[in-house]
Amino acid sequence: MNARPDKSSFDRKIDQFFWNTRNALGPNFDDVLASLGMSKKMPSPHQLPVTKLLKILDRLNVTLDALMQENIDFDCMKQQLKGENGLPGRYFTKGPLSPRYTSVGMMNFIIKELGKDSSEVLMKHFQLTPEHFEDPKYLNNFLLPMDLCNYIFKYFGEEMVEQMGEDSVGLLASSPAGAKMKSLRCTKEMFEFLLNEVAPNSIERNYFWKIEKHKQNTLLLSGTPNPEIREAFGNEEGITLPSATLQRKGFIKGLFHMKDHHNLCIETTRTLRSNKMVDLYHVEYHGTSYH
Amino acid sequence: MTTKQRELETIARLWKVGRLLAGKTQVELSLALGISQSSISKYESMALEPSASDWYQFCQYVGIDAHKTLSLGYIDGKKKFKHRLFGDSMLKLPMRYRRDFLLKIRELIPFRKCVRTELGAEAWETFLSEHKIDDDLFFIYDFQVSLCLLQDLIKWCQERSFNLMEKVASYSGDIKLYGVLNEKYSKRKRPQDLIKEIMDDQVYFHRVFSSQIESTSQGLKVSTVINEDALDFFEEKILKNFLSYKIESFKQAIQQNNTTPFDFKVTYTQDELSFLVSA
Repeated sequence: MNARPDKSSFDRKIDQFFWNTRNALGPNFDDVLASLGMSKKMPSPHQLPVTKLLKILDRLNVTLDALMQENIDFDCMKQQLKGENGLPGRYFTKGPLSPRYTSVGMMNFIIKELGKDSSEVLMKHFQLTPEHFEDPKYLNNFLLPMDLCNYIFKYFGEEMVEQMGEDSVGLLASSPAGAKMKSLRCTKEMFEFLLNEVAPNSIERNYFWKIEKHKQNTLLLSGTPNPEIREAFGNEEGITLPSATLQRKGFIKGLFHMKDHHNLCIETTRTLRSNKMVDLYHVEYHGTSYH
Repeated sequence: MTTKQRELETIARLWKVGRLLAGKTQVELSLALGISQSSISKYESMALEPSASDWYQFCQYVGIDAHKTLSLGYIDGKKKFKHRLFGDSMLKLPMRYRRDFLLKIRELIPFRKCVRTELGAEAWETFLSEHKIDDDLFFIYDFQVSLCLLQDLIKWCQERSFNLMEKVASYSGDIKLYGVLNEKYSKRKRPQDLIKEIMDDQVYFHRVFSSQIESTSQGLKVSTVINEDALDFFEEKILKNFLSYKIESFKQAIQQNNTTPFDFKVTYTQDELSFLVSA
């Protein structure tokens, strides 16, 4: 049974957040409070009623959940308050950067599925803004799509993560690369094109992808984090999240659907090879005249 | 009602809904969270606003996002609730409405609003009490219920000479009302593209109906028939009514999201309902 949460630790985090914010923003923080009709001489921050605290957090583009998880980037907060389009440092300071196609596809799905209001709070949770998703050519590291994926996994479940992966094929399908993939009749050729031409320009550049096996109506793909990402993030659990595997499973399903293969079964397994975590995607597909 | 009172009412409602969803009494929740029962009682009766720590702790316990839930004023998210549909939840919902899960509560929000506006809040309360349903349920947008609930509501309104299906369409195009439609749709320039996108997103719709979308020289033609499986559960007349409503709501969605003038022609045959959209 879970131990009862320590309420005083939540109170401490709220007080600490106010202290850090005041340090980061200086007198601008008083201006924020004044703009919300609040005095800088307030009681202990943790005694604030929740709706009042939320108004302050909304103005600073952070959420209560992020505050409690101590995931606030105060430099980013400062930039955003100045009207700049600051991205939290965790999304660009470490690891290889790649274009934002995957994250933009995910955010489109989230807006479509959850609605505008809900997706705005989700963005706030990660100190993001709609402007961050305006151009898929913006760069970020692998943590941005991973955070989005994990959030959906946590609050909405496995099915929705898979749907999100499937949906993201839409963005690819409407690109020249997608048109090329649709024109390739053989599944193996399509996946070779994906791994050689598309993956290196996306978040998947952080993984080493291989077609392990392909015979009629069966495809086995493997993916493992590459040395670059291991060097940047060590063996942090984040680089092999189960939610990311689900998202890719949905993506692979979407690719087959794009080629009108609807009768298919995808199984994923995780295994250790030479002490490295490898994800395997085993696809069986039927009912088509080509393979 | 002042803003403060509205805020207190929202928190009180969400706290109670969350607790019932978790299947806990106030005393049990008090023991689990270490918050006094009298405080919980005050939170649920609008007498006191919780501190941020209490609210966060409560949301963690129920498995919901603290900031989002309070900002939206309803609970959204399904993972933690699925297993409670038949189990722990203390929310009232007769088994008849749990035997299949074709509708998400978010799809019923326009119906709730329509009845409350056209017949009055008391009428809505009467319907709920006669059918042993908690209104709290309507604050959990991802909760899934049977289409029977809608069927019973339509019949109940008919007995009062109120044609719900005719009236509700005008409540269904409101983007923010049920969170399904969104700003993205408003960027679609042509009504045909908007319809294509909406049709793609109607997951629950497709469990009950099969549709074929076809681009013709006159415009986009959508032909829809009822799935045979659905007829095992629901009366054909109700399904046809529901289908007409959905199609009317698509039209409303175009009207409210698109400035391009458009034609929308609906054609009925014995088994099929089709509509043609053109700019």
